[in-house]
Amino acid sequence: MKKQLASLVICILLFAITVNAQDKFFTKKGKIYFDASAKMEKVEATNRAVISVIDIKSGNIQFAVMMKGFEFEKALMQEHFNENYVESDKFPKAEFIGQVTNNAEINYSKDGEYTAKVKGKMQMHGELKEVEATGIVIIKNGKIELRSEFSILLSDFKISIPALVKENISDQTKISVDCLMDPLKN
Amino acid sequence: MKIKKNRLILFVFALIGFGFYGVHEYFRSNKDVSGLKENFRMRADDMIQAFATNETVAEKKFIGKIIVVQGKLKEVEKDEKGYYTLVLGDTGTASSVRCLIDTLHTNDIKAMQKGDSVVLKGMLVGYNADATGLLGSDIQLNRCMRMNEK
Repeated sequence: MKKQLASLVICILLFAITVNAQDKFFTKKGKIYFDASAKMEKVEATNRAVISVIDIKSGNIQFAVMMKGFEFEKALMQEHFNENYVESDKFPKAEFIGQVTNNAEINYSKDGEYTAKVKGKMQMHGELKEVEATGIVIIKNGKIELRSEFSILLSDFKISIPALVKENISDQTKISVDCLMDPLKN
Repeated sequence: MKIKKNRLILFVFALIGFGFYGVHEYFRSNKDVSGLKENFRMRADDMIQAFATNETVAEKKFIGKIIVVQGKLKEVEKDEKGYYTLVLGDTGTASSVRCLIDTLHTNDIKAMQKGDSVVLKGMLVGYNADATGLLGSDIQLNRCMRMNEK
Protein backbone atom coordinates (compact mmCIF):
# COMPACT_ATOMS: atom_id res chain seq x y z
CA MET A 1 0.00 0.00 0.00
CA LYS A 2 2.83 2.35 0.98
CA LYS A 3 4.65 1.48 -2.26
CA GLN A 4 1.51 2.22 -4.32
CA LEU A 5 1.01 5.55 -2.53
CA ALA A 6 4.65 6.50 -3.16
CA SER A 7 4.28 5.64 -6.86
CA LEU A 8 1.12 7.75 -7.06
CA VAL A 9 2.88 10.74 -5.42
CA ILE A 10 5.83 10.40 -7.84
CA CYS A 11 3.41 10.24 -10.81
CA ILE A 12 1.56 13.36 -9.62
CA LEU A 13 4.85 15.20 -9.10
CA LEU A 14 6.16 14.23 -12.55
CA PHE A 15 2.86 15.31 -14.11
CA ALA A 16 3.02 18.65 -12.28
CA ILE A 17 6.61 19.24 -13.46
CA THR A 18 5.69 18.35 -17.07
CA VAL A 19 2.61 20.59 -17.05
CA ASN A 20 4.69 23.39 -15.52
CA ALA A 21 7.39 22.99 -18.18
CA GLN A 22 4.83 23.06 -20.98
CA ASP A 23 3.61 26.41 -19.70
CA LYS A 24 6.86 27.98 -20.78
CA PHE A 25 8.21 28.54 -24.27
CA PHE A 26 11.58 30.00 -25.17
CA THR A 27 14.07 30.89 -27.85
CA LYS A 28 17.70 31.94 -27.96
CA LYS A 29 17.55 32.64 -31.69
CA GLY A 30 14.99 35.45 -31.84
CA LYS A 31 15.44 38.35 -34.24
CA ILE A 32 15.32 42.06 -33.51
CA TYR A 33 15.62 44.60 -36.26
CA PHE A 34 15.84 48.32 -35.68
CA ASP A 35 15.54 51.22 -38.05
CA ALA A 36 16.63 54.70 -37.00
CA SER A 37 16.90 56.02 -40.55
CA ALA A 38 16.38 59.72 -41.12
CA LYS A 39 16.21 61.82 -44.30
CA MET A 40 19.87 61.50 -45.22
CA GLU A 41 20.88 57.99 -44.25
CA LYS A 42 19.78 54.39 -43.78
CA VAL A 43 20.52 53.34 -40.18
CA GLU A 44 19.49 49.73 -39.72
CA ALA A 45 20.76 46.75 -37.76
CA THR A 46 19.78 43.19 -36.95
CA ASN A 47 20.38 41.02 -33.93
CA ARG A 48 19.66 37.32 -34.44
CA ALA A 49 20.34 36.03 -30.94
CA VAL A 50 17.48 37.38 -28.88
CA ILE A 51 16.74 35.37 -25.76
CA SER A 52 13.07 35.26 -24.86
CA VAL A 53 10.80 33.30 -22.50
CA ILE A 54 7.03 33.38 -22.20
CA ASP A 55 4.89 31.78 -19.52
CA ILE A 56 1.60 31.18 -21.31
CA LYS A 57 -0.24 30.58 -18.04
CA SER A 58 0.57 33.95 -16.48
CA GLY A 59 1.40 35.90 -19.66
CA ASN A 60 4.77 36.92 -18.22
CA ILE A 61 7.29 37.59 -20.95
CA GLN A 62 10.99 38.49 -21.04
CA PHE A 63 13.47 39.46 -23.72
CA ALA A 64 17.23 39.97 -23.47
CA VAL A 65 19.61 41.11 -26.16
CA MET A 66 23.36 41.81 -26.32
CA MET A 67 23.97 45.30 -27.65
CA LYS A 68 27.24 44.31 -29.35
CA GLY A 69 25.28 41.60 -31.16
CA PHE A 70 23.61 44.17 -33.45
CA GLU A 71 25.08 43.86 -36.90
CA PHE A 72 25.16 46.77 -39.34
CA GLU A 73 26.01 46.71 -43.00
CA LYS A 74 28.65 49.38 -42.41
CA ALA A 75 31.35 48.70 -39.81
CA LEU A 76 31.84 52.39 -39.04
CA MET A 77 28.16 52.76 -38.19
CA GLN A 78 28.37 49.70 -35.92
CA GLU A 79 31.40 51.18 -34.14
CA HIS A 80 29.65 54.53 -33.62
CA PHE A 81 26.50 52.75 -32.40
CA ASN A 82 28.48 50.83 -29.76
CA GLU A 83 30.94 53.53 -28.71
CA ASN A 84 29.04 56.83 -28.99
CA TYR A 85 25.36 56.00 -28.73
CA VAL A 86 24.44 52.90 -26.70
CA GLU A 87 27.85 52.70 -24.95
CA SER A 88 27.74 48.92 -25.06
CA ASP A 89 30.93 48.47 -23.03
CA LYS A 90 29.17 50.16 -20.11
CA PHE A 91 25.68 48.81 -20.83
CA PRO A 92 26.19 45.48 -22.64
CA LYS A 93 22.60 44.24 -22.51
CA ALA A 94 19.05 45.49 -23.11
CA GLU A 95 16.13 43.78 -21.41
CA PHE A 96 12.36 43.84 -21.45
CA ILE A 97 10.23 42.33 -18.70
CA GLY A 98 6.50 42.53 -19.10
CA GLN A 99 3.20 40.84 -19.49
CA VAL A 100 0.71 39.95 -22.20
CA THR A 101 -2.19 42.03 -20.89
CA ASN A 102 -4.85 40.20 -22.91
CA ASN A 103 -3.39 36.74 -22.23
CA ALA A 104 -6.83 35.25 -21.51
CA GLU A 105 -7.92 36.03 -25.10
CA ILE A 106 -5.18 33.83 -26.58
CA ASN A 107 -5.91 30.14 -26.94
CA TYR A 108 -2.39 28.69 -26.83
CA SER A 109 -3.70 25.16 -27.39
CA LYS A 110 -5.33 25.98 -30.73
CA ASP A 111 -3.40 26.79 -33.92
CA GLY A 112 -4.10 30.28 -35.18
CA GLU A 113 -3.15 33.95 -35.11
CA TYR A 114 -4.02 36.11 -32.15
CA THR A 115 -3.48 39.76 -31.33
CA ALA A 116 -1.37 40.30 -28.23
CA LYS A 117 -1.00 43.44 -26.19
CA VAL A 118 2.22 43.62 -24.21
CA LYS A 119 3.12 46.06 -21.48
CA GLY A 120 6.29 46.17 -19.46
CA LYS A 121 9.58 47.80 -18.65
CA MET A 122 12.50 48.07 -21.01
CA GLN A 123 16.02 48.66 -19.77
CA MET A 124 18.59 50.03 -22.18
CA HIS A 125 21.58 52.34 -21.81
CA GLY A 126 21.05 52.22 -18.03
CA GLU A 127 17.52 53.69 -18.30
CA LEU A 128 14.29 51.96 -17.38
CA LYS A 129 11.23 52.96 -19.38
CA GLU A 130 7.66 51.68 -19.65
CA VAL A 131 6.90 50.31 -23.12
CA GLU A 132 3.61 49.16 -24.63
CA ALA A 133 3.34 47.24 -27.88
CA THR A 134 0.85 45.30 -29.91
CA GLY A 135 1.87 42.18 -31.76
CA ILE A 136 0.76 38.90 -33.22
CA VAL A 137 1.01 35.49 -31.57
CA ILE A 138 1.04 32.63 -34.06
CA ILE A 139 0.39 29.17 -32.67
CA LYS A 140 1.45 26.42 -35.06
CA ASN A 141 2.68 22.84 -34.67
CA GLY A 142 3.30 23.16 -30.94
CA LYS A 143 5.41 26.30 -31.33
CA ILE A 144 4.71 29.94 -30.61
CA GLU A 145 5.83 32.75 -32.84
CA LEU A 146 5.75 36.31 -31.52
CA ARG A 147 5.89 39.22 -33.94
CA SER A 148 5.69 42.86 -33.06
CA GLU A 149 6.54 46.28 -34.40
CA PHE A 150 6.74 49.30 -32.18
CA SER A 151 8.60 52.55 -31.81
CA ILE A 152 10.76 53.99 -29.08
CA LEU A 153 12.39 57.37 -28.63
CA LEU A 154 16.16 57.18 -28.23
CA SER A 155 15.97 60.30 -26.05
CA ASP A 156 13.81 58.34 -23.56
CA PHE A 157 16.88 56.17 -22.96
CA LYS A 158 19.26 59.14 -22.77
CA ILE A 159 20.81 58.27 -26.11
CA SER A 160 21.57 61.66 -27.55
CA ILE A 161 22.13 62.42 -31.21
CA PRO A 162 24.67 65.18 -31.86
CA ALA A 163 23.29 68.17 -33.81
CA LEU A 164 25.78 67.46 -36.63
CA VAL A 165 24.10 64.13 -37.49
CA LYS A 166 20.49 65.03 -36.64
CA GLU A 167 19.60 64.70 -40.33
CA ASN A 168 21.11 61.19 -40.44
CA ILE A 169 19.67 59.50 -37.35
CA SER A 170 16.07 59.58 -36.20
CA ASP A 171 15.19 59.88 -32.52
CA GLN A 172 12.09 57.83 -33.24
CA THR A 173 13.32 54.28 -33.83
CA LYS A 174 11.25 51.47 -35.25
CA ILE A 175 11.81 48.08 -33.60
CA SER A 176 10.66 44.79 -35.14
CA VAL A 177 10.73 41.58 -33.14
CA ASP A 178 10.29 38.04 -34.44
CA CYS A 179 10.73 35.11 -32.03
CA LEU A 180 9.88 31.51 -32.84
CA MET A 181 9.65 29.73 -29.51
CA ASP A 182 9.87 26.06 -28.58
CA PRO A 183 8.37 24.48 -25.49
CA LEU A 184 10.78 24.54 -22.58
CA LYS A 185 11.64 20.98 -21.54
CA ASN A 186 13.05 20.41 -18.09
CA MET B 1 54.27 81.95 -58.13
CA LYS B 2 55.76 78.46 -58.50
CA ILE B 3 55.57 77.88 -54.71
CA LYS B 4 51.90 78.90 -54.73
CA LYS B 5 51.21 76.47 -57.58
CA ASN B 6 53.01 73.62 -55.77
CA ARG B 7 51.03 74.30 -52.61
CA LEU B 8 47.80 74.22 -54.59
CA ILE B 9 48.72 70.88 -56.18
CA LEU B 10 49.64 69.49 -52.76
CA PHE B 11 46.35 70.74 -51.32
CA VAL B 12 44.34 69.14 -54.14
CA PHE B 13 46.17 65.80 -53.70
CA ALA B 14 45.61 65.91 -49.93
CA LEU B 15 41.93 66.63 -50.52
CA ILE B 16 41.60 63.71 -52.93
CA GLY B 17 43.45 61.49 -50.43
CA PHE B 18 41.13 62.47 -47.57
CA GLY B 19 38.15 62.00 -49.87
CA PHE B 20 39.20 58.46 -50.78
CA TYR B 21 39.90 57.64 -47.13
CA GLY B 22 36.52 59.04 -46.06
CA VAL B 23 34.60 57.08 -48.70
CA HIS B 24 36.56 53.91 -47.88
CA GLU B 25 35.86 54.33 -44.15
CA TYR B 26 32.18 55.12 -44.71
CA PHE B 27 31.56 52.00 -46.82
CA ARG B 28 33.88 49.69 -44.86
CA SER B 29 32.15 46.44 -43.90
CA ASN B 30 32.92 44.25 -40.89
CA LYS B 31 36.14 42.28 -41.34
CA ASP B 32 36.08 38.53 -41.72
CA VAL B 33 37.47 37.19 -38.41
CA SER B 34 39.83 34.84 -40.28
CA GLY B 35 42.05 37.87 -40.89
CA LEU B 36 41.93 39.13 -37.30
CA LYS B 37 44.46 38.30 -34.61
CA GLU B 38 43.07 36.36 -31.64
CA ASN B 39 43.13 38.10 -28.25
CA PHE B 40 42.39 35.01 -26.16
CA ARG B 41 42.36 31.23 -26.61
CA MET B 42 40.29 29.22 -24.14
CA ARG B 43 38.33 26.06 -23.51
CA ALA B 44 34.56 26.63 -23.56
CA ASP B 45 34.15 25.29 -20.01
CA ASP B 46 36.86 27.63 -18.68
CA MET B 47 35.18 30.59 -20.33
CA ILE B 48 31.80 29.67 -18.81
CA GLN B 49 33.52 29.35 -15.45
CA ALA B 50 35.20 32.76 -15.81
CA PHE B 51 31.84 34.47 -16.41
CA ALA B 52 30.08 32.49 -13.67
CA THR B 53 32.79 33.44 -11.16
CA ASN B 54 32.82 37.18 -11.83
CA GLU B 55 30.58 38.49 -14.58
CA THR B 56 31.78 42.11 -14.37
CA VAL B 57 35.48 41.24 -14.55
CA ALA B 58 34.93 38.75 -17.38
CA GLU B 59 32.80 41.21 -19.36
CA LYS B 60 35.51 43.87 -19.11
CA LYS B 61 38.17 41.39 -20.14
CA PHE B 62 36.47 39.55 -23.00
CA ILE B 63 33.64 41.58 -24.58
CA GLY B 64 34.56 42.91 -27.99
CA LYS B 65 37.64 40.66 -28.17
CA ILE B 66 38.49 38.01 -30.74
CA ILE B 67 38.38 34.63 -29.03
CA VAL B 68 39.42 31.17 -30.13
CA VAL B 69 37.29 28.71 -28.21
CA GLN B 70 37.72 24.94 -28.00
CA GLY B 71 35.06 22.53 -26.89
CA LYS B 72 32.55 19.80 -27.58
CA LEU B 73 29.44 20.51 -29.60
CA LYS B 74 26.32 20.34 -27.46
CA GLU B 75 24.07 21.31 -30.30
CA VAL B 76 24.10 22.36 -33.95
CA GLU B 77 21.21 24.77 -34.43
CA LYS B 78 19.82 26.04 -37.71
CA ASP B 79 17.14 28.69 -37.51
CA GLU B 80 14.16 29.23 -39.81
CA LYS B 81 16.23 31.64 -41.93
CA GLY B 82 19.12 29.21 -42.40
CA TYR B 83 21.58 30.78 -39.93
CA TYR B 84 23.72 28.34 -37.95
CA THR B 85 24.64 28.51 -34.27
CA LEU B 86 27.11 26.05 -32.75
CA VAL B 87 26.58 25.50 -29.03
CA LEU B 88 29.65 24.48 -27.02
CA GLY B 89 29.92 23.29 -23.44
CA ASP B 90 29.38 20.50 -20.99
CA THR B 91 26.17 18.55 -21.68
CA GLY B 92 25.72 18.16 -17.93
CA THR B 93 25.03 21.87 -17.44
CA ALA B 94 22.60 24.26 -19.11
CA SER B 95 25.24 26.98 -19.58
CA SER B 96 26.92 27.27 -22.97
CA VAL B 97 29.08 29.22 -25.36
CA ARG B 98 26.86 30.06 -28.34
CA CYS B 99 28.74 30.77 -31.56
CA LEU B 100 26.79 32.42 -34.37
CA ILE B 101 28.41 31.32 -37.60
CA ASP B 102 29.35 33.98 -40.14
CA THR B 103 27.48 33.22 -43.38
CA LEU B 104 30.85 33.38 -45.19
CA HIS B 105 31.88 30.26 -43.26
CA THR B 106 28.64 28.26 -43.14
CA ASN B 107 29.90 25.58 -45.53
CA ASP B 108 32.78 24.72 -43.16
CA ILE B 109 30.44 23.67 -40.35
CA LYS B 110 27.48 22.06 -42.15
CA ALA B 111 28.80 18.52 -41.62
CA MET B 112 29.43 19.04 -37.89
CA GLN B 113 27.48 16.98 -35.40
CA LYS B 114 26.63 16.92 -31.73
CA GLY B 115 29.59 15.53 -29.74
CA ASP B 116 32.27 16.65 -32.23
CA SER B 117 35.28 18.51 -30.87
CA VAL B 118 35.65 21.87 -32.50
CA VAL B 119 37.80 25.00 -32.48
CA LEU B 120 35.97 28.21 -33.38
CA LYS B 121 37.05 31.81 -33.70
CA GLY B 122 34.73 34.76 -33.26
CA MET B 123 34.03 38.02 -31.48
CA LEU B 124 32.61 37.81 -27.96
CA VAL B 125 29.59 40.12 -27.82
CA GLY B 126 28.07 39.41 -24.44
CA TYR B 127 26.95 37.23 -21.58
CA ASN B 128 23.44 36.52 -20.42
CA ALA B 129 23.29 35.30 -16.83
CA ASP B 130 20.15 33.21 -16.53
CA ALA B 131 17.84 34.87 -14.03
CA THR B 132 14.99 32.43 -14.67
CA GLY B 133 16.95 29.34 -13.61
CA LEU B 134 15.48 27.54 -16.63
CA LEU B 135 17.57 28.41 -19.65
CA GLY B 136 21.20 28.33 -18.52
CA SER B 137 23.65 31.21 -18.82
CA ASP B 138 25.12 31.91 -22.21
CA ILE B 139 28.23 33.52 -23.63
CA GLN B 140 27.65 34.75 -27.15
CA LEU B 141 30.21 34.94 -29.96
CA ASN B 142 29.32 36.51 -33.31
CA ARG B 143 30.89 36.28 -36.79
CA CYS B 144 32.30 32.84 -35.97
CA MET B 145 34.32 30.53 -38.20
CA ARG B 146 35.74 27.05 -37.77
CA MET B 147 39.51 26.74 -37.38
CA ASN B 148 41.34 23.80 -38.93
CA GLU B 149 42.49 22.56 -35.53
CA LYS B 150 41.32 19.86 -33.13
